[in-house]
Amino acid sequence: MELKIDRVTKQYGSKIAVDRISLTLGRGVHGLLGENGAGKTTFMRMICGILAPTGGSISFDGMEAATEGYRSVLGYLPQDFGYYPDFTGKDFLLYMAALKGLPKRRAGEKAKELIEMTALKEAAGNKIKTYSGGMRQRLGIAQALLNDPDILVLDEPTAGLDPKERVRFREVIQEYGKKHIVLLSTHIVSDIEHVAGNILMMKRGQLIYRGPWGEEKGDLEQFYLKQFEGGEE
Amino acid sequence: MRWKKKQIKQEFIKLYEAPEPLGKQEFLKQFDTCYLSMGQFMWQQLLYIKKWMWLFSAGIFFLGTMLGRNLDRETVWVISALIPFLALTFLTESGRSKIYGMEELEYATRFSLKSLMLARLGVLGLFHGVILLLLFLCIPQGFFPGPKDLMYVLVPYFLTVSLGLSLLRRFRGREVLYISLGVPAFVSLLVAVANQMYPLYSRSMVKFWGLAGLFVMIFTVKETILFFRQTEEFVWN
Repeated sequence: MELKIDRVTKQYGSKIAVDRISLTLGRGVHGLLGENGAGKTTFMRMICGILAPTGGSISFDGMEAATEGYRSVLGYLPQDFGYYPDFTGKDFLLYMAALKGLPKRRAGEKAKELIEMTALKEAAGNKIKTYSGGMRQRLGIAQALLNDPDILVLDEPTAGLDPKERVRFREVIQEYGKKHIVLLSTHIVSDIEHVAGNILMMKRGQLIYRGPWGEEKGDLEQFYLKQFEGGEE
Repeated sequence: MRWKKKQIKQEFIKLYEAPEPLGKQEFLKQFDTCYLSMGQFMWQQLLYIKKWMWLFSAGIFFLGTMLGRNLDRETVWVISALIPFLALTFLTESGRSKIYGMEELEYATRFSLKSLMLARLGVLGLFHGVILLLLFLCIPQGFFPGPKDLMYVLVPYFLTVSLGLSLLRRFRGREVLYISLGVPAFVSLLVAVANQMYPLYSRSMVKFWGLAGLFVMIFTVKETILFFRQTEEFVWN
């Protein structure tokens, strides 16, 4: 199980949003850190096959990104996502399950399981417009897991979650990462250092650090802040 | 004897409790290749088209046929002015993902946004095609005596669709809803005003309708291709 990213670049006119990133991700939780505008979301969108790279390639076990087979094994939680206002939480999960190609019975079972896992059982029958920010985020996490994806891409997944929900989320992701590839992006260092076995740090479209982070290297947050001292030019 | 066997079986079940399965989901997942087929997917998407769209479209049809029975040649433009509102449901459905910010989620699924749009708009388009044809056939002869007069219903419809798709490609969010509502109203008003200025529905305007028909068909094909091309990739803002 390998996600191969080979010299992936995204350029808009003269601006290079992602600059020749190459890496191979295996099973485990990979934390992607970077300040706003570093290129994390662009990079994640390319991994999800919803943005075509200007150069390079992305593949998973031989399947090119953006193909139907690749999308079948993908789960994605965007940084911002909407919802159809007349949907309840359960309707939303069933709708997303249909788009992911799950048959009706399995979709129902999976939706029920994920509603319980994300503690949305009491709100599942209510319209999403009545949900708090944290509830919507949990719903978003639930839809990402519907098809038991081999590649789970989460963009700022803990936004809006309270501390208890954050801890619960970390447990779920850590467990999931044991058998799948999880790529989790955030600019909150504490979300990653407890969960990710592999740290990726982006700055101005480039990877400036990759690898595990051990105690011998010092404080991850201090290292991270030092990289972005002085702000973007 | 059979009853006894059954009783013995029940007693054994009570005595020897089966152990909990280990790794059941992982084992089953090896064989779990059961996915929705494209046909099943299209049927499911049909059910997600809002009921009001079907009812609204049917309402336009019935209003059109009622008007057709009571109009004379000079006021046939009323039907042409009504037709853009049939296209309103098509545009609303086209822009639904954009209006509610669901695009990014829908792009990353197995049946991506393109398949979703093809399924829904294909079905709606077919339904509208049937309505337009029935409208043309139900209106008494004398108003639409020949195929060339089919343009009176097709041109306003396809002008609305092509103009609407062209604008939908350029906007996101709430603006998409305003476009879906505004374009049909604009085309309807255009038909009404143009008819006041020129005798659009007289026999001398046959060439005009022929050229208009050709133009809107080409424009519609172009905009449809560009619209679906946009559903293949998330457009950066």
